[in-house]
Amino acid sequence: MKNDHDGQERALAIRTRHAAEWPERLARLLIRQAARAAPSTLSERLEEEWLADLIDRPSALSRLRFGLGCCWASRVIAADWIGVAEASPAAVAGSSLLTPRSAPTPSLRSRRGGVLVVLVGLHIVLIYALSHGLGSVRSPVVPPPPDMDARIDTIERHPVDPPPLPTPPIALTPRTLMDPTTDIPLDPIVAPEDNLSAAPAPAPAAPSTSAVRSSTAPVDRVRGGPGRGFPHAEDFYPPGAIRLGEAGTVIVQVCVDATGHLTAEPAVVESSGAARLDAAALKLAQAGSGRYRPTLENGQPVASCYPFRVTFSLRH
Amino acid sequence: MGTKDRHVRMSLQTLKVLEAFLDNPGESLSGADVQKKANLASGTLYPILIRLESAGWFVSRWESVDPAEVGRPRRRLYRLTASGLSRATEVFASFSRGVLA
Repeated sequence: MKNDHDGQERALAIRTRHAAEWPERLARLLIRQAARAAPSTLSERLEEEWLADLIDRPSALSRLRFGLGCCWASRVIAADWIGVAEASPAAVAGSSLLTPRSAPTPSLRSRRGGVLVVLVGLHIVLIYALSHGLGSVRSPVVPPPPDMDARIDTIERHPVDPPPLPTPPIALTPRTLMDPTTDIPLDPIVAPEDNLSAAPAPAPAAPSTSAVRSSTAPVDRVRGGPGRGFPHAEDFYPPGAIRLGEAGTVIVQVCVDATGHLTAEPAVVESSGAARLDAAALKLAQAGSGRYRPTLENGQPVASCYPFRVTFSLRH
Repeated sequence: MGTKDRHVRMSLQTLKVLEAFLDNPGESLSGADVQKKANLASGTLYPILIRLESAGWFVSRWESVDPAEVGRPRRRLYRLTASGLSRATEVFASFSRGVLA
């Protein structure tokens, strides 16, 4: 009696294992077939690549989808190859990836046949999956992304209309660019750096040409910032960060020449605490090269370094 | 752009793939990594990767691991080339809009 029971359990275990393995086996079969349909120069590579990437698929259903997707991918790659070969045989001949020597030449009929096979296969898979309870496999529900808001704050809004000079001129303490609290006031209208008297000022930390001055005359200085045509920060909000609800403010330091072009790689001087937001802010700063408003000294544009603030926030 | 660029169609899906790489431009990503980041189906993703590689935006290489040691097959890793990075940055800049000064 006990032996019968053990036997039934073993049989059930084997059946369960087979039921769990068949989607993966089918996916592997689809991938091998798909790789064969790709241009022969890519065939082996794609098979190995896709089989390796298949392992990362979390569920049986997603593996099947992956395999079916590879069938489609190989056909698109083959079609691309034909397009490339027809458009520019010389260019293709030099490519290590797509060479016309031994690639397949799928006729319209064979392509149609391939699509038909894929569709029939898909139906069989779906019917089998539904009848064996795979229909209950659910992908995790990703909440819709919340509204986002991203903006760039500059230090002052009226660069060509600085406030009147105080008398006597204020001698500023040494500026430390790594301390953004001194460079970026919370109130964007206040611009304490607009008037500089360089007589007692020691050498600043940044290699700014405008900051190193030996003249004793007061300098009417209007610090630059993102100018007209500067990219929108919201366009750089990483989708992954939106999904994870990451928000924050990054302070980025840029060095800009008199024409508004970057002269050095932008750097983060104060992190948001989220690496992808910091990276997005740097991308934004890089993309804005040529769109910066240069710093003005006595009305003349000069090369300078200055920080600005990029805020990524989500509206719930 | 160069001769090879004629084969790169700048679709929304292509932009998603580029964005996945621009998150950390020096990083090498496998197709599975890009799929997770860009949330694209394999049927869409791989043709784009091959297209961008043949156009010189990406280079690819096999992961340098011993499959027996790590217990899985080696992956194919893609990385933005220097010209790919600058062209991708240009593309995103050209899609940016508006002014904030």
